[in-house]
Amino acid sequence: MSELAVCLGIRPRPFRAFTRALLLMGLRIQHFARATGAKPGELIPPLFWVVGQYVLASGLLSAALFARVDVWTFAFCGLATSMLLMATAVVVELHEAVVAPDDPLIVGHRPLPARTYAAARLIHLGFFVTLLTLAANLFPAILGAALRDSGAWYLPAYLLAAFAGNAAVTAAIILLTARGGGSPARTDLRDLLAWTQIVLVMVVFYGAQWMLRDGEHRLLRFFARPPDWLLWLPPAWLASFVAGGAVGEAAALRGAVAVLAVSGLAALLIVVRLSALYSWGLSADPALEREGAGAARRTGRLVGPLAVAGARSRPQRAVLALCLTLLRRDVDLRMRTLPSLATVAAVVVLGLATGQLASPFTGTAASAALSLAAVQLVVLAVPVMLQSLLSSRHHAASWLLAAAPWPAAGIPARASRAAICYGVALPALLVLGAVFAWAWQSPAQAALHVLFGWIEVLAVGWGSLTALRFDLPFSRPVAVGGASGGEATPWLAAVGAVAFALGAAEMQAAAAPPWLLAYGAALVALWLVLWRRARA
Amino acid sequence: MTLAEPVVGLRSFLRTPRGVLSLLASALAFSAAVAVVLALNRDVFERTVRERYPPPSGLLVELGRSLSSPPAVRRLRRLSAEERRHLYTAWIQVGEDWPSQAVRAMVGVDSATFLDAAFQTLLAGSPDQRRRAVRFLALAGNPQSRALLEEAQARAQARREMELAAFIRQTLIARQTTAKQ
Repeated sequence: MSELAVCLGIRPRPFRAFTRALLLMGLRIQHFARATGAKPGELIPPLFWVVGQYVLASGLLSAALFARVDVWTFAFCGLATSMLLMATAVVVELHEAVVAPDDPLIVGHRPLPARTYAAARLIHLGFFVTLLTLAANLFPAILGAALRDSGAWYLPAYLLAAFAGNAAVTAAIILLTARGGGSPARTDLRDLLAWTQIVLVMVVFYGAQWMLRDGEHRLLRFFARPPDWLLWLPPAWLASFVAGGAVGEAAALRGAVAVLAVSGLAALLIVVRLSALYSWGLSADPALEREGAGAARRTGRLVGPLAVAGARSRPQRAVLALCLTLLRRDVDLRMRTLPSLATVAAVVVLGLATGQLASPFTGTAASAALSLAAVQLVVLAVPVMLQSLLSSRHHAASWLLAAAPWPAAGIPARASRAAICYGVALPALLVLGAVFAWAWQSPAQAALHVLFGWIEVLAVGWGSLTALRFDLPFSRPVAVGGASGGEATPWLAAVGAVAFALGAAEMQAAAAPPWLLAYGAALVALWLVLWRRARA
Repeated sequence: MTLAEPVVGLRSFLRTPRGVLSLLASALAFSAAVAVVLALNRDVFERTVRERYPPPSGLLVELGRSLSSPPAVRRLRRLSAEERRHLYTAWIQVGEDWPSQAVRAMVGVDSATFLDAAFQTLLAGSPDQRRRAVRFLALAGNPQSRALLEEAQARAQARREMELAAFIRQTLIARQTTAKQ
């Protein structure tokens, strides 16, 4: 083995030592903190939650398809999901496992040849790719082996295809994005991709429900006669290999050799690319230098137009601008704040797919249930988002806000409320309104439905300031479960119950215009009461 | 030794690389065990595969029973696409005593809707519903229905649903014999 390593230009002792050090560090550092929002102090490492998300996504998908589709479709869906998850994992988190910009400073002066370094990095990356591939493919591999049209060779064929597919995806992304500076993509793109796992779990969860409730069985029809373009996708090639292997076709053996060759080629390409990247003649990356200089030159207004329009006094504008800026920039805050709106999107998609997104003014309780739920979920998200705005990783810096000479009490709290109501809830309601207008073909009904929701948002915003004893934003330490637990729980329960009752009341009031008028008046009255209470 | 000591020990262990590996291995082993249990209960999943039909309406059943007469066929032409779907599901549920010309009349009036409904049943129906759909296609006496039957037979053979494949084969042979006579 050592001779083989030497032949490949890898020095065995440094390779073993560096690989061990990398694996130990890999298990200690917080991989996937970006995707899970986990903090360094938490007992369960974020890697565990990610493995759990992968298992959950693949388990739900497999359970939904099991006994309903043939082996090709089952393998295709499992492999496509696995490859998508792996692609985002490499971009978002695992890139640091391959390209570490700090390494030249730490090990650059040691006698560690570039190829040895690259091989150790490959093993490090391989460990995580293996772990995640197993997590994303355990369920499809085992359940697929029990399908009627499967066979004894399904399990090894599927696992081989899954590892080859994920190796190819990893190699492609490393080859396309690896550069000396470390991060392969802009931070906002990585943040966006970090949501893929959560979104995919939700898509699979709600998609499975849609599939089971779809009277026209569109998914089964689609895969019964798949379009030609689908067969050109790499997961389709691998699925064909798995389907052939499952029934012991001789041609599958050639496929297995090809799949193994693809995996080996992927590993080789990564080693070659990393060897070239770290030839230890390091110089500063000119692209990064240009980026840094550009960032330094960029200047802009401290307080944007939304903050100017949404606040009355200059101090209030300043806090509103701070809240909006942090909501835009602080990944941690966004991860705590915005997921509560993900359920709204999921409910809308489910409603569109199942035909339960009808207008509450013309539909029945069953057909309009999700239209009502979508708006009420936005209302329910307001106290959750306000609660998360109370805390920050850098909460100690809030002394600046505490020591500021406020002309009147409660200005920071009111500005925070404005940030959530106008900066997050209002855009969400406007998007909902556009979707409703399109789905109902009645902009007037959509506007009225969203208007009722907006009055509720304003009322709940004021009520939350009192209920949460909101004083200064970003002034409390971040706690696990803090966004929806602790002292907010009774208020959230109350808002949930009232939102449910208001949804039912709107449905009843839709029967006659006078009732609708009375309903709107009741909402305005509720808003005024909570507003006066908060101002007091 | 207090109760807190083992908890503290466990917390410390989970913070080590070995602890993280143990946690991950346990999660994967548990997932594999759950997957094996699900795989061993395939029949439970298969029992949930069926189409859900609304109860047949009296008017449609009456129409179906009278489809050998020209006035009933004229009424059939006036039905909407949704009502025609319901007529099909009524045939699947209670169509045994309908006249043999009923299916031919239905497919003659709107082959796209009725053949599509049968195709869907062959994909997503329970074994009994699939057999009824095969019977429907056999009675349709239409070249497209024969193609659908052959496609369903190939799919059943590939999925090793041997009883259904044999049933379709017998149906096709019987249909061929009838056509020759």
